[in-house]
Amino acid sequence: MPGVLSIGTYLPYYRLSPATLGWPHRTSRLLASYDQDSLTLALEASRRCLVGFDRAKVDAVLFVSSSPPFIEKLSSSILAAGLRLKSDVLALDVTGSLGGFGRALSLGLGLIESNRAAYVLIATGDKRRTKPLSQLEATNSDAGAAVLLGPTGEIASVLGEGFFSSPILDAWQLAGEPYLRDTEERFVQEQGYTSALPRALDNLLKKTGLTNEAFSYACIATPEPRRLPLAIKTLKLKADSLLDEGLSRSFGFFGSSMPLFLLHEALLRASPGDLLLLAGYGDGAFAIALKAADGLLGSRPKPFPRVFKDVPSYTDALKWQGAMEYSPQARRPPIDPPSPIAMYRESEQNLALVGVRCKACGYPQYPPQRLCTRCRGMDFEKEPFADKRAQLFTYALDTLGPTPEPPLIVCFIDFEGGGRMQCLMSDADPKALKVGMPLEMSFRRLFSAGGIPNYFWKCTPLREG
Amino acid sequence: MGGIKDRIAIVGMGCTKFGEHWDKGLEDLIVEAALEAFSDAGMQAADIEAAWFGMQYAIGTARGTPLAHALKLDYLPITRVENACCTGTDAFRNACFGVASGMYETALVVGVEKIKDSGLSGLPVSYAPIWGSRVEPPVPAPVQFALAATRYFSHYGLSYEEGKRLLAKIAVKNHKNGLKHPKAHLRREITVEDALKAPIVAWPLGLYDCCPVSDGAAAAIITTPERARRLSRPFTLVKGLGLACGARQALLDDAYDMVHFEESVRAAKQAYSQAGIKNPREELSLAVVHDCFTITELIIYEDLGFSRRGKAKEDIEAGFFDIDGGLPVNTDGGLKCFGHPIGASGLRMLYEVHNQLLGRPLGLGVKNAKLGLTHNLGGHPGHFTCAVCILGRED
Repeated sequence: MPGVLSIGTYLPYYRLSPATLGWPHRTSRLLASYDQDSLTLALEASRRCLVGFDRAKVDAVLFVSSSPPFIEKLSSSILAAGLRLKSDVLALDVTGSLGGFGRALSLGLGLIESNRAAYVLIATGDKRRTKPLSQLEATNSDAGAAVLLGPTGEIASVLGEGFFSSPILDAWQLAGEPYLRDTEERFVQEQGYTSALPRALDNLLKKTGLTNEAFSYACIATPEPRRLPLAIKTLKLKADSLLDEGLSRSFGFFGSSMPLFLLHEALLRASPGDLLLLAGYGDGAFAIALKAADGLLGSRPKPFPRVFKDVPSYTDALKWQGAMEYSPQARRPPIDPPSPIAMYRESEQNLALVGVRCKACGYPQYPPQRLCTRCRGMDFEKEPFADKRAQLFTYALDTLGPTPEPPLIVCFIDFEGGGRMQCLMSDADPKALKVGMPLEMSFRRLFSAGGIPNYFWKCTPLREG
Repeated sequence: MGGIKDRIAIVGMGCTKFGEHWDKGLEDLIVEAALEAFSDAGMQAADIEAAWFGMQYAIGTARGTPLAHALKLDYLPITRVENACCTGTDAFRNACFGVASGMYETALVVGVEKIKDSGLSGLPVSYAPIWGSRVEPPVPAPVQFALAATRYFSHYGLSYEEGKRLLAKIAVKNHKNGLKHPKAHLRREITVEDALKAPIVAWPLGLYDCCPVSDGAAAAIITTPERARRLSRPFTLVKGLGLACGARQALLDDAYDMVHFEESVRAAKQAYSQAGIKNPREELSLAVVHDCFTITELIIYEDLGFSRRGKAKEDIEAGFFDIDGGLPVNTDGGLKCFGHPIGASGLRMLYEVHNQLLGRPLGLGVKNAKLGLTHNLGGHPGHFTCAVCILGRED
């Protein structure tokens, strides 16, 4: 039976908490860095999801987000390039709804069941545009999560899906507007998820013949997790089935990625044979029944390291999100836009960090060279660098460089197995840097100029929990 | 391979005061430097057959015409040269070849930069390359050399404090020298403590580790030694000209140590070989080198063979490069205090060495100077362009 092969998650490094200077809320939440967006978060999660899997086998990639970087332009096409998926991959964005994940999962399973695809990657990411000082700002975290579906659900099979569609205006962002809007909270609670979720569940139970009491774990993604106990009652689920995952208590709501985070948590605990309910809210609701499989015992999904750093101040958070105009550190010329022509020509080396290895002397080099830097050989094979670890060779802290988070960390890094690159470093404490420290690569939005977002790789200190 | 030694004479040099010339434009600077050079040589524009013009920042005119316009030259052949911080020296180098080839007998070289009209802090820099996909990080000059400083400290086991103190001594020396030069941009003494307390520009480099951004121009008139002798005016002779460009080795090859700049080593090797110099530490009377940052000067000591590898520290602490030391370096204050209008700097260095060799220093003097070196280094670790020039007296 088709289902889940693996799950990967990604949490941003930065946190807003009551300890953050000027943070106007009592909550804690995670904040994507200024150089991350829903696409980069989804790509980071996808890399983790695809570890050990032959990427050439992925037939379709669905990018799910309620905050895609583009209105016109497939983020999934950039995702596919960044992940080195095959060129005839079916790439599609499922955007515009918090409930996109359940719908995308159904589409993905449909492709597999109809033999149009064997393996489908669903990559979710959200960095929702919440208005400063709003309640949405207080409770929405940025994150990414991805799932790989295949003809055999090695860690969990999918038994069926149920949907409910609703035209309700509860949270939305109008094209051309900078921020999310929302409706009166009690209306949303009563006519929104407490009404939509049971209907989707009913539809699922009708299709599968399962009962409300059958589920050992209930993973329910709603924008208001504090009302979940109430929802459980409405759904007539087993009293103790609600997943006590702690994530939402710590960080609020992860947008389109929330269902996968909850499923991930459930799969850390479940035993083979356990039934799991995965439900989510957004423009109605979806409900999915899964059954934990034997493969789970051998390959439990890995939890993402819980290593975070508080954003220095709320002002910094506003700067990072582009919510505030500010004077730069130094009088420097504005950043010129990149050339879309050169970007296209170099898309493999820039988006997937693919370099070359000299066939004559074996030395790996990035970016690709026409003549080998060591032996001047001209015969190369491709060499992907994105998943290599590296060491910090040297660095400088540019206090005047163009960044909303000074100082700009410029470094030379040496890759394990050979190769050197000059790049920027993100997610680091400048005071904790040491020559020789271990690093990994991270996909980022380097800058955006002239309306062109420039995606590229930076290094970050190795994040280990 | 032919040699350049003793085939070119400098018969006239000029240099404006370097600094923030809010009240002077490109034309003013060119005219001032060129007129001093003409007067020094006892010549006028009509005596010139060809010119080389060095300016790094194009300001809309990447050609030779701004020089013709400023001096109203009479449809002369003018070559525009742009080679980062080596621009001035490379313009001079190509002019030397023009005269040495026999094509021209007398040539004018002018280097200029008018940067302060940009209204920017530092030099204009952004993600590179222009028109490319622009994924290379923005690496302004202080960052380029801060990367080398971090590596040098780490490689030789210097703590941040030890490293900073060592660099501060170079800044203190150059400020001491610059104080006495009437044309230097920054003319004040500083202490090691001042340097240590200064704000950070690009960690680990602070304000006093960095040269200023300045406007200025410098000029040279060169001819054959035969004609120079006929002029019966004092002149100096070119003994060697080296130029080396890196191929991004430091950026690509993880075997590259970054505690030396191979471009400097190679350019010096070319110039030493032409000049017949075996032991630069002993044979040179003075050197005016590219101390865009204090760490650069430190590494130059080792790259040019003034100090042994890793031993610059000992020489700095012994005062070997002070004005009264074994090999005075940056006798006019260097880039650190004289300032750094990119296209003019190489010619400013020649101006200092020329005047020292002729025994008429404008600032602090080196007694009985016989052989002097100038050095420029521009670009970025791994793909620097480096120029070395050696001048001597006729005797």
